[in-house]
Amino acid sequence: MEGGLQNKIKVQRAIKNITQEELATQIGVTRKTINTIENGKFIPSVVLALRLAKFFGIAVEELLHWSDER
Amino acid sequence: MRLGKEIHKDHQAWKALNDEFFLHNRDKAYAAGFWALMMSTAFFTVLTIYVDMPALLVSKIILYVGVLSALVATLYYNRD
Repeated sequence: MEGGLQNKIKVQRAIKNITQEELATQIGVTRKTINTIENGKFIPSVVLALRLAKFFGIAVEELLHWSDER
Repeated sequence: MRLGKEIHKDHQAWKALNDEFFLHNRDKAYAAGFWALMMSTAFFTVLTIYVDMPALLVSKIILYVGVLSALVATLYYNRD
């Protein structure tokens, strides 16, 4: 993946064995929002990022991080 | 078609309409409509210097361009 905001949402979903739809329902957003965040097409707000991290039980920095690699 | 308070009663609909990604796209669509409005206004301002056109017609065209641009942009940004 190119530089920018990287995320491990897909990995965490696999660990928890839940679908995008289930995650979206738990967080309170639509499945499309989760999909676009996973694919790097949409940058979540701070609130949403914190909610995702809290749901997965990890720090925000573990779930989302900035990469300068090009 | 549910409007107003009916939307709040439908939890799924309310969630979808207030979803972060949807709101982000809505704001981008508003911006697209705004700039389409500005550009069409500039275009007709210059055009009417050389061509006589009824003011009402020009106003309607500019308005339709702005509103339709926002609607099309909404559909485009929210496409699957």
